[in-house]
Amino acid sequence: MGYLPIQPLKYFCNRMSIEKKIICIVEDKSDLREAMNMMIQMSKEYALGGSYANAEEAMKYIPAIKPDVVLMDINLPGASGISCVNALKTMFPQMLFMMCTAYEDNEKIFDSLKAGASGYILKTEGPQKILEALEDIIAGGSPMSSSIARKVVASFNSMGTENSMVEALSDREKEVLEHLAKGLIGKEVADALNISWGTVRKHVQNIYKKLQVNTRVEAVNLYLNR
Amino acid sequence: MSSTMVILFFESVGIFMCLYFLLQFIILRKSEYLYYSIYLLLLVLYYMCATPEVFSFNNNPSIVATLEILKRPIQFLISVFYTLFIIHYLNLEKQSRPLYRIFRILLALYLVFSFICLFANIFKLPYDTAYYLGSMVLFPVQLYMVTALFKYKVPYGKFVIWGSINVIIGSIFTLLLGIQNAKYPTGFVSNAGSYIPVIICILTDIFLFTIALQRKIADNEKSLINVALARQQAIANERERIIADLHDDVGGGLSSIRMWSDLMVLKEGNNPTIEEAGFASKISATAKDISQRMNTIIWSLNTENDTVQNFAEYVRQHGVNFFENSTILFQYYLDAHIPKDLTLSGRQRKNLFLIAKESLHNILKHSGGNMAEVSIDYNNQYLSLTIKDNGMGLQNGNTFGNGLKNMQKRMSEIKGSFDIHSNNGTVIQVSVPL
Repeated sequence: MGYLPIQPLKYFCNRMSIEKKIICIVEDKSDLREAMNMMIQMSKEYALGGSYANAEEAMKYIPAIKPDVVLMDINLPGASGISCVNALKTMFPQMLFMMCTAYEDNEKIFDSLKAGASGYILKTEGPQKILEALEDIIAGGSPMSSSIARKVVASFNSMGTENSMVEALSDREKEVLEHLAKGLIGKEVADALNISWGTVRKHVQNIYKKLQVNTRVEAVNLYLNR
Repeated sequence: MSSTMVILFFESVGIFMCLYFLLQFIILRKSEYLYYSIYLLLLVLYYMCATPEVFSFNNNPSIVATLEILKRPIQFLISVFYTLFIIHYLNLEKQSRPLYRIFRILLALYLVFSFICLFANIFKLPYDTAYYLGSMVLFPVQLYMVTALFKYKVPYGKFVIWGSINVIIGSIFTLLLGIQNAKYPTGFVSNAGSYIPVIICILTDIFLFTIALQRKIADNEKSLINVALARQQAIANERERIIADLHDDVGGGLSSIRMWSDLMVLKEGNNPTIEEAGFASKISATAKDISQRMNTIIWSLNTENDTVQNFAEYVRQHGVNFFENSTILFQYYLDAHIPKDLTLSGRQRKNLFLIAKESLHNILKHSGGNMAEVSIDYNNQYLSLTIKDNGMGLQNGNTFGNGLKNMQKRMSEIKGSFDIHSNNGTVIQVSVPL
């Protein structure tokens, strides 16, 4: 299972001067994991760093591999994908995490984003969509559905303004968030605000980052105020 | 004179409470109420026998004689019903087997002595001898009963303990006064007066048990509510578990099917024929369709999604995604006056959404138009969903066949109305009372 010798692979990629991004996969269903392995191996842009059946295994090997992106299942036997993301993101802030879920369970997706994931994709979307989403996330974009947007708004509101540590959202980010919360999808937001689709995605990425920072600040404050 | 008043007062309270508990028994069908009611009736009869002068029976010697015969058996019968009451009130059969055994032995002894006294009195054997003998035998058993109640802590046991102690104290005082009365019949204590301490204690006892019985009813109600809540919680947990299983197992499996069938076409060197590629994409599309349907089922099961706002968004997102790669322009209008907390049941949400989905599908497949419009309005407690296109409209009355019938069925399932007509295209309008 899973662990591939990554040093030779990186060396090989560098030698060929191909900037292949290293992807790791955490997925407990073996047939799906194999399909995803093949999907990555078939693509020209990505190399498979390794694939793991549970969070414990991922925690053991991923720090050594330092992949660019981790495709992480949320429901895993043992520790959840969310806690795995939380631990790895703290160790490697540059590492990107994309949650792979069977269905849109807003609560879990929102928790993953707070834990440090940069996006999520439905497994049922098929390999092409998943590869597109990988491309997006590496380019710095993040998707956000309206229900998630509303949760983000509520989360920022609940943090309050009295705390100077809380990184406030910029006006543009607030606008984007409001539109998303109303139910507009990314492209519609871009049209409404007269900005490009790429810019909207950057804004969303920033909103996620601030949410993650604030989640940690909030956690620290909760601890200090006890 | 005043002791007469006390006895009469007690008798009337006894009769009244007896009827009250009888009524409670008829309403609540709990045997402890019946036993308590009979216990009170026997108490009333006992004091009639014990103090005939209060009821002016003393000028009729035959009645006095009859009452005298009945007095001691009734006294034991009182204990019989009091014990029966305690057994049922404390639910000893289930709460504590050892206590249940002790109380049953006590019950049997009371019954035996009750009969012995009755026959002894009828056959004019020495009056009261059987009674005093019985009382002496029973006294240690009764004391043991009280200590046993202390030992085996059963719910509500403390009411019975305090009630028993209360009556024992009253009985001791009455016994002392009775002896006084027997020694000096013309002394300061009359026959009726000697009963006053025990009567006061029995009244306190009745008061105590009225509270105790009500307390038990209230507690029962509370526990019934808790049981109902726990059951509801269990159902909710079960539902969550089913949803989680659907998510994980079925969803994961469908994703695998999708993934592998797509990879079959995508993999370099595979070079599938057009037919093979077509089959693979059919498999993939079917897997996607099933997982979308399941998504809708899960969405409708999740009570978090029960607002009209959430429904509207779900329809909108489906519409946007559905027409994303088509030439059809999708437009969407949501009534801004819909209250934020307006809710739809899971069934309503599911049926309305499936109608919207089917209609949009028809627009893409059959209408030939280039515009699809969904609007959601709320008027006079009716939520209406309108789906319009600018295509060719209805051809020969009915172009959708089964689909249309299905929509009608869906609406009648949620007691809503369904309307379809042509107006520069097809207009489907459904509304449901909220």
